[in-house]
Amino acid sequence: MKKSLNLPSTLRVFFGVAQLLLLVTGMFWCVLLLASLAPRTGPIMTFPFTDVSLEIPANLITVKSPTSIAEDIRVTRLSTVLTLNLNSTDHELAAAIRWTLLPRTIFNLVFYILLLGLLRNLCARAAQGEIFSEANFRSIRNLGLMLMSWSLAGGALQLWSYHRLGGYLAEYGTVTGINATLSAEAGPIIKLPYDNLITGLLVLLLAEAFRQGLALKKENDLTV
Amino acid sequence: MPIRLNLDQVMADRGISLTDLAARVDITLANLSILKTNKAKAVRFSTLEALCRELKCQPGDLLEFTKQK
Repeated sequence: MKKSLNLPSTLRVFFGVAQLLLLVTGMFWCVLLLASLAPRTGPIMTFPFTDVSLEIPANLITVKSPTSIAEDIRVTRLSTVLTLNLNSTDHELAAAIRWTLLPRTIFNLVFYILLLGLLRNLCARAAQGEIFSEANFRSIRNLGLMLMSWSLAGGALQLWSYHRLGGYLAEYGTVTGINATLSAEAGPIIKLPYDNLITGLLVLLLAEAFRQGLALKKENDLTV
Repeated sequence: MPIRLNLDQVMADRGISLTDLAARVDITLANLSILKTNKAKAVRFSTLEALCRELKCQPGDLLEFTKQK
């Protein structure tokens, strides 16, 4: 007889392995960043930094369609990716990179390990046939709260990055080869990861459904 | 709970065992034990009907209301 795949058990193993891999790689990155805090020269170690834009004059690049005029579509800002060297000999740049990366790495590491742990526990309980229970309700509620707080804290970390690295770029960075200025500042509205906020709210709604399901189960358990 | 189930008394009067009654009313031994020990929060009409049929009694013989002090 063909053995059917037990999805919760499989996912539990998957989340466990992912948690372990994340822990190892995350710790490796943290140690690497902490070790490179002392100014030194080392091999070129690059990483891409996004959320950077180039402010360009309105007439530098034109976009036209067959029936539009030049003023209809204007390019005033180019989004770009900066590739930065963590072991730069410019101590101020190196420090700005590290102090931008380190909080993000630690925060994401802690968040994902907790998230995967919660998912793993949920799968373990589901594999044992335990669906509507107090523990599952708490796990799902915590999952929702975590996603929402991750979204808000992610916005704060983004603001910190703009301040730390963006501050350096605004002060020292000049663009050559194109008539443009670097901009890595937060706009009037901080770009929050809204999708996580919405997902968190949906998960909280699911937790409420679980709470009501649990109440129904409790009532039904002692009905003969 | 002010509502009590006198199942153990009725069963003793009829001389029927828990296992035997469970088989006759087609409910599990565990659930019948919940009824017998008054741990149940609710009883389905279908269960009450089966109990009354097998024990040849009225619902009033099984259920008792006692005032709580």
